[in-house]
Amino acid sequence: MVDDLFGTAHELKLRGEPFAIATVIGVQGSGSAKPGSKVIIDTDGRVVLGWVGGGCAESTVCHEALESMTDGKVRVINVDLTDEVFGMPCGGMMQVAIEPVLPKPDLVIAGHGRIAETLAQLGHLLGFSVTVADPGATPEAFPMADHVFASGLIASEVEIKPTSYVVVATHHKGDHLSLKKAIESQAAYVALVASRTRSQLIFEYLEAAGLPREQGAKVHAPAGLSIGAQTPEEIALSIMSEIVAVRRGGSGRPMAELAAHQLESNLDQPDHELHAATLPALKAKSA
Amino acid sequence: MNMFDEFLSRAAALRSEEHPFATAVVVRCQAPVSGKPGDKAIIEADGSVWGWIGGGCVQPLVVREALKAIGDGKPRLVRVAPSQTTEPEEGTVSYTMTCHSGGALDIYIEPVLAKPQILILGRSAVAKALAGLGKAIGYRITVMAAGAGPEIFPEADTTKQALDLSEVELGRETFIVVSTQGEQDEEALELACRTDASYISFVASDVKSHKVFESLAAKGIPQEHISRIRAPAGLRLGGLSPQEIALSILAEIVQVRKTEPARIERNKPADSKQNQPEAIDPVCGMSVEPSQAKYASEYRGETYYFCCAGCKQEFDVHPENYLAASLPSP
Repeated sequence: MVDDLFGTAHELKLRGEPFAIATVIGVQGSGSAKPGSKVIIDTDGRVVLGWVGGGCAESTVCHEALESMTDGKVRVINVDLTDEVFGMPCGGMMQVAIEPVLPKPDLVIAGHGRIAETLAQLGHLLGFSVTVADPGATPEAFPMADHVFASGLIASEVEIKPTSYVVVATHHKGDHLSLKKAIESQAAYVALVASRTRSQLIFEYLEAAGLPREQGAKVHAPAGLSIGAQTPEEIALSIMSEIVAVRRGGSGRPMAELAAHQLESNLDQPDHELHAATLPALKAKSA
Repeated sequence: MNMFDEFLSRAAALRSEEHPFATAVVVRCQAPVSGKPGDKAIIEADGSVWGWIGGGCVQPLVVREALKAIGDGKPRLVRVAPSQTTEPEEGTVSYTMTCHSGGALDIYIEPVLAKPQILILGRSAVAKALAGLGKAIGYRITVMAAGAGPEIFPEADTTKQALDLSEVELGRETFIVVSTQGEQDEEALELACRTDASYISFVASDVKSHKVFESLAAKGIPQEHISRIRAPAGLRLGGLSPQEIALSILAEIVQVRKTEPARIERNKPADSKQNQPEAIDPVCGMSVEPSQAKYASEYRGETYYFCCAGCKQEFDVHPENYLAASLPSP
């Protein structure tokens, strides 16, 4: 049973299909499943394999599994088996851990050269499936890439998915066409590596070609978080950082800054008297 | 071996030894000058010169600008012309060529500095991810922790099994990340915050770091040391995996590197040569580095330095002609 389960999970993973694994980790009272019971749930919310109990237990688990595949987060849920509405309640409680297994997000790079090479390497290390599409790209220059297409981004075999993060770094060679395809796709992130002047020209072209202005506005240009990157490697790092921030909802501000702020506001209360004492002193100083 | 081969092999050797240096290449010349386009030199941080970049008049200027380039990390184009007849161009540093040749030279000077170093204290999952990502952007990686060998840190340039900085070179650009995750947190932080590094961070939650900082303070570590430690480490990218956290730390290091001056000055190129007052060649008015001047004369108990043999010869014949101008009138 467990072997089948791992085998099926492995197969789904290889096929790049999202799924979730739910494992019973605790049972109180009577329940039809035991700790260690597992199910695999697909994106339609159906049990592919396994058993965690029937009826309400299963539908609750499947519902939560769908949620976990949407937000990408692991969760532990409590299933109350005492309030079975239809049929006989089992009379127990169980805890189920649900883990989503999502396919790797795609990093699609149009371009070659040092920025593209480093970006491919960073993307690989961050767990992205890396596709490089550029006439100047070779598998030797991109050893970490999962796919290298010499045809360029606009070729039909390069697929852009809703989980794709697209970086156009073609340095003028057809960047407007590559960017147009990326913008018109469902990509989660589209960025352009170009100077502000060059970006402006490209957006003017795209607008003239009939692309709505708000579509162009979703492009990150110039690409990357503003961290003062100068070398091609650092620029690649700033772009990868921006991709993670977009994907995970980060602000890009220093962690320590917020921590200090929180600490300060925590200290506000106990130090109330101290504040009262120092305030007049400060006023006296400024006067 | 021709000059170009030797230039490359010397540069490569200095690079692999992580010795900072600058290259100087003549890119334009206007006859008559002794230099030719393509003439090259390597200037090391101690001011020593290998190669050829024109005669004795030009060399001191090149050394001075090369040392400045090693100091600020920026390349520069130096123009040496007989007089400032034209407006100085943006991006060039102009000097007046006062020696006899009368020609002009443009010399491109570029610093080649040691790679920035990330010193990782600890062998946590974040430490491992950081070593891989740091290597990918071309930084030098040093890992220090009990049990941290090359097997678990294949990307590291150096691994040390004990928390001991005595054998580690802390260059001008060393960034320290403490990612001990419970193994010798305090020892590692104490070691880190006693250095001059421009970036020290601690991979921990703010609650945990607050506790550890309190105990460091209780041990008598000065608050100004402790407050230099950034915690939690990294920029807020929102990721939680070790790789995402390591990326956010690397992004913070790049940011600090660009916005704050390097703090560690232990390997500063500045030695006596940079600090010594310059002498002025009384004949042509050029500045001369006394430590490197090949031509000098004694006159009435004073030593005078010259840029070239011609100036010295002129001076030796009529010293008073050249001193009158520079001496204050009675």
